[in-house]
Amino acid sequence: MSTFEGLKTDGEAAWRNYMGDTKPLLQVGMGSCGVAAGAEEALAVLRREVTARNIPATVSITGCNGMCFAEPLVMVTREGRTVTYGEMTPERIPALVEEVLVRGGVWAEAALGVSGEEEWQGIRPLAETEFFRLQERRLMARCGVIDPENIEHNIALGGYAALHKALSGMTPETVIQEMNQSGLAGRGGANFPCGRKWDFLRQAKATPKYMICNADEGDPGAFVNRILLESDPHLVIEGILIGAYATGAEAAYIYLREEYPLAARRLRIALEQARARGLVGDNILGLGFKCNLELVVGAGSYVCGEETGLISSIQDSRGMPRIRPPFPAQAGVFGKPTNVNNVETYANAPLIIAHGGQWYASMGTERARGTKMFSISGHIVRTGVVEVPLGTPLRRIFEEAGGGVGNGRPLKAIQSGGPLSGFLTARHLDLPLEPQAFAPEGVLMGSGGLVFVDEGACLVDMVLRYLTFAQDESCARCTTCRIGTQRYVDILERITQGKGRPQDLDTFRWLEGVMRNGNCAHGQASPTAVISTLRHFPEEYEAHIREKCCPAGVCPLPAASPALTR
Amino acid sequence: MVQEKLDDLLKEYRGKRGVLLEVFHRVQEIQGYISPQAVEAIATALGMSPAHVYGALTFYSELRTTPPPERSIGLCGGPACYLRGAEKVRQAIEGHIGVAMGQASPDNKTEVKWVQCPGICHVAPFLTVDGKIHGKVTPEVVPQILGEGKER
Repeated sequence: MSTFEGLKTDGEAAWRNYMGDTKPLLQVGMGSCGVAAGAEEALAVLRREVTARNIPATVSITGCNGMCFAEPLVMVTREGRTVTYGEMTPERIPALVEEVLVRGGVWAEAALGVSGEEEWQGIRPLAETEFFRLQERRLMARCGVIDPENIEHNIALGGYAALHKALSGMTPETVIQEMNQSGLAGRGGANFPCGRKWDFLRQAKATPKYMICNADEGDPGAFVNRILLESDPHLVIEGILIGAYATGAEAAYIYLREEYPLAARRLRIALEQARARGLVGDNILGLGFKCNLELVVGAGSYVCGEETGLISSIQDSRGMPRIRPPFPAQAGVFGKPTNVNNVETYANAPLIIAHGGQWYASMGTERARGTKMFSISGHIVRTGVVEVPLGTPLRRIFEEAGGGVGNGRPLKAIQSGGPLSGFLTARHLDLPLEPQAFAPEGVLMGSGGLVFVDEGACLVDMVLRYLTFAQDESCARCTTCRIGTQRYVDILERITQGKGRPQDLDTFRWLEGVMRNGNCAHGQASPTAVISTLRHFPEEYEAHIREKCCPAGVCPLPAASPALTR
Repeated sequence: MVQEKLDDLLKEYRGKRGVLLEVFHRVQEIQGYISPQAVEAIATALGMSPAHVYGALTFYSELRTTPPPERSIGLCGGPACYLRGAEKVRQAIEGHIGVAMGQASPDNKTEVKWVQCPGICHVAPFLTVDGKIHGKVTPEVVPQILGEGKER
């Protein structure tokens, strides 16, 4: 029996035992979204109740299945069927124990859905609910299913099989061929073909080579990487190792933002478990491949999400981005060839290797292949994370998964892609979710953050917040970025105070051209929030500058034009 | 005591590279901040100039160069929190404890700062007190969360 077959057998036995034939299994959703809604207290109450009442049941944890809006979640599995319960606050846990464990009922009113495709005891399948029915769960297949702190669960449900397949039966070249055939493009926002990027590193001559996973998910409102790292960290580790094998990298880093302490904890546990089983380190799976993997935790800098800033931060310097070329594939960490991909990009690699590039390419659109995770927040009923085929209309995410604005006000704007992107209007709801459809509208689809904004918000004030963020986070190397972002903030502040001048709008456009001279995307793209709103919402600026009013009533100005009320 | 811990810690990292951020985090765990003496010690252990260490240290907003306050209040500056009323919560916090956003009280008892969006937008707006999260906050509940009144 090979090393991997042994792990697989052990994992499957552990999983069978966990799911239990006789005892019910109760899992509390312990992503940081669950914790923020009281999941730790819920877990403690559940443990206490089960022990005090001497109930034969297994109490455990799982990650987040994306339904952040219904946290804390509790999944109850009996006889292979799992029912998901929402809003299981500590106060409601005793009722769950009473209804479900003591009386053996189903408590259908509190259930969000049941696993499988059939209705059961008045509970509809979770997969048919509005939040789920548009989703295609591939990356998230194990999110909210397994205990993320148990590597055996991951292995039992297919984890590390793709790594084993690559190491035991594929050359690095064929791995890259499959990646190329899949059409996978970088998920961090740049949309660069992943297979080509890996090939650059493979062909680089200098050694050692480095693989870096960018887990510095800094875009406010984006939390797709967090969900993956907290709920199925081994999927990401497996993807990095496949990349390392394909490119000849012997060392890898995961650069994680400081704001994700739970993801750091889960990654540390995952790495320790993977090392102990010979999945990370020397002679991986006994197949002669070596790769060390280290976790580096940032310290609160947005520009460290830019790849050259990230590299600088790893090598003990200020995390300031630098001009490219040279690109990381030529000179990256410690001057050596390096590949940087986003968490979600790596997470796709095991799927591609397991099922083939052709299989992968059959999902999505002609120009954007596969599935993509999106985090939805703001003025929306159901905040959470979904995974959908690329090309899915934005409207379905907003109306079906998100449930619309829900407060009676119409939708005004959609912010996609974080602070280096901009704002779309409600008219853009029919855009397909693919990067190529967003670009002509002057914004980025980005890394997966979608923030919905209703008519009650003032976009001039909101854009001011975005530029203030850009200014705070500028590394200040380039004068254009350091002073350019300041100028935007100064002028926007003046406009929100009713002291705007008509020529300010020309200054905005001119300044954008100046900022294109910045060395990195931070400086180059910071004006996007301003420029996209000038284009799609000119009336907001007109009202503030010419009428000296803020129609939304957010800025310290009259809500209606003095000229009109007179 | 602190000095001993620091010396023990730095022994682990002597001469290594790619470890500075980890060293910063661990020193801050021990001391609560990274003192000028610690900067010198880190520089010696890692074979860097103190200027290089200090330069890296001051780049990051979550690393402290002065002792931490007794109590740290954070308010999320992300878009979901903004859209769900963080600005009014900010005013309530400032009004209740008499410390402006981004500042600490003169006796360093309490600080108030914006925190980066960690993507728990379903509990927006939220604030943290010494790391503990209070979600779906309104200006009205701020006094209850923060307890007694103005810092002197």
